[in-house]
Amino acid sequence: MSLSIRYTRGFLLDLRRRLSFVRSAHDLLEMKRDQEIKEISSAIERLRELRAALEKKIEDVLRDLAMLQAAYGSQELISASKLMRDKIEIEVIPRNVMGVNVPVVRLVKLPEISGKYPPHVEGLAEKARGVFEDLLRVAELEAFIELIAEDLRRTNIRVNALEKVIIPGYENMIKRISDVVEQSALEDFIRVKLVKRALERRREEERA
Amino acid sequence: MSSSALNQFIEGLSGTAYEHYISGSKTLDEIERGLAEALVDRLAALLSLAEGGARSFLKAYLGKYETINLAWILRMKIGESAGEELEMILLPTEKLGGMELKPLLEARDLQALRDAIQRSGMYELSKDADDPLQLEADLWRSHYRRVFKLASRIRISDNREVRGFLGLEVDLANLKTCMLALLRGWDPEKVKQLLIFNPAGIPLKKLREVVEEGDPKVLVERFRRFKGFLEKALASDEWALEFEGLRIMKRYADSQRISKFISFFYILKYILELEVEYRNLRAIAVAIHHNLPQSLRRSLLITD
Repeated sequence: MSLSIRYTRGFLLDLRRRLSFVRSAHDLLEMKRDQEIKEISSAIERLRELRAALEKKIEDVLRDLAMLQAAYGSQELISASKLMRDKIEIEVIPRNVMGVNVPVVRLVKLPEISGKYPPHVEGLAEKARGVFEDLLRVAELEAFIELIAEDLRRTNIRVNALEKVIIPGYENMIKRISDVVEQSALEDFIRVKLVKRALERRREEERA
Repeated sequence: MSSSALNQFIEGLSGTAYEHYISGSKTLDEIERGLAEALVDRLAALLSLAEGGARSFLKAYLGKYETINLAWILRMKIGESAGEELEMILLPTEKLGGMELKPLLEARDLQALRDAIQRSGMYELSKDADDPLQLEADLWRSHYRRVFKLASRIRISDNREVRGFLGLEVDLANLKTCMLALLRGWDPEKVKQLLIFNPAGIPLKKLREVVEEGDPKVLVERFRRFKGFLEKALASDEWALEFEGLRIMKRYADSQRISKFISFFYILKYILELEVEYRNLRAIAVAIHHNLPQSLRRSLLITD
């Protein structure tokens, strides 16, 4: 906060206006911070549920993979995995949440699996595809939490800076200027009184 | 993966015929390759002892490993995999008198690979088919056609048992295809194209009829002899089908009372025993690699 201080009533009024603006900005930032905390908490809750379900699915896929590998050998699975030529298509769209751009992942196209793999491998491929969809949701949520948390950190710094530095700084400055302005008003008043008295005395002497 | 557990597995096999093949292996891939090489070497030794019609038949029968290789090459070519990656997974079937695989590995695309396979004169691939599963089925059809042809030519007393053994092998492959494909809701026309003609087992006509009905439960009802096998698929245990299939083959081979002390059927039985041992060891290595629970590990073994 670098301001060239002028000890004037006009500047004091300007400072008071600024302080009121800074206070409302602080209130807004505090509201934003609370909202961000709420968003993060609910996202963490959702992430926990999604993760638990995903871990269960991955465990299931890994178990099936291990069993198929034991039954048919690694070569069979490696070679079968090469049969898929289609690519997964996803679209990442930014969404604005409280001024933060968070990614929303939209699945445009998932490869068609039916009839593309040998029948004994198709079940595993189907399950792995399901896991991929869940992985995307988890990644989306994790990115959301990460970005909002980063913004929350910045918001926190701003709220603290306003609370601890800027607002007290303004308040001090206002106090200092208003002291000086009051002091100067008093001096002016006394000066006027003295001048007035001197003028009255001169007028009485002229009359006499 | 617990590498120390895999080391224990390798140590456990020290002093056996496998020591030479897997000692020094660091990864599961290396162990699997070593075990496969051991199997092929044993089969090659067996083949080298055979003569005449028996040798031709055995060479054709062991061509199933070459067919597996060709199916893998087809898939990898479709996936545009590098030649080195392909070489890493192949079984050394040239030792079994199979075709030279190098020209196939060097084929620049699927069409070139198809041409190279056709040129060998051993396999007949559908001209218009570009579905890899259809091409794989063509390979297997050619393989079994050759095997059955040679089986009918060899003069052995236990021809009936040999044909029964081959027929059972094809039946299990066909039923597995039908069951899994129907469970996954495949088009019946596509399923029918994947079936292999079996002159010593379930006629194709009968299988096609069931496929047209499209209900996996009908398959179980119609082929009660294979009820336990087919029900594994109903329980969503695709992997268990493979083990159950081998168990059925082994039970069949063990149940045959062969009249003569020296019988050709014993050779097929021996090949099956080698295959079972290979599969068991591979399954144990994979189970150790994935740290599967003991209860599951036992279910992976093909025992008496």
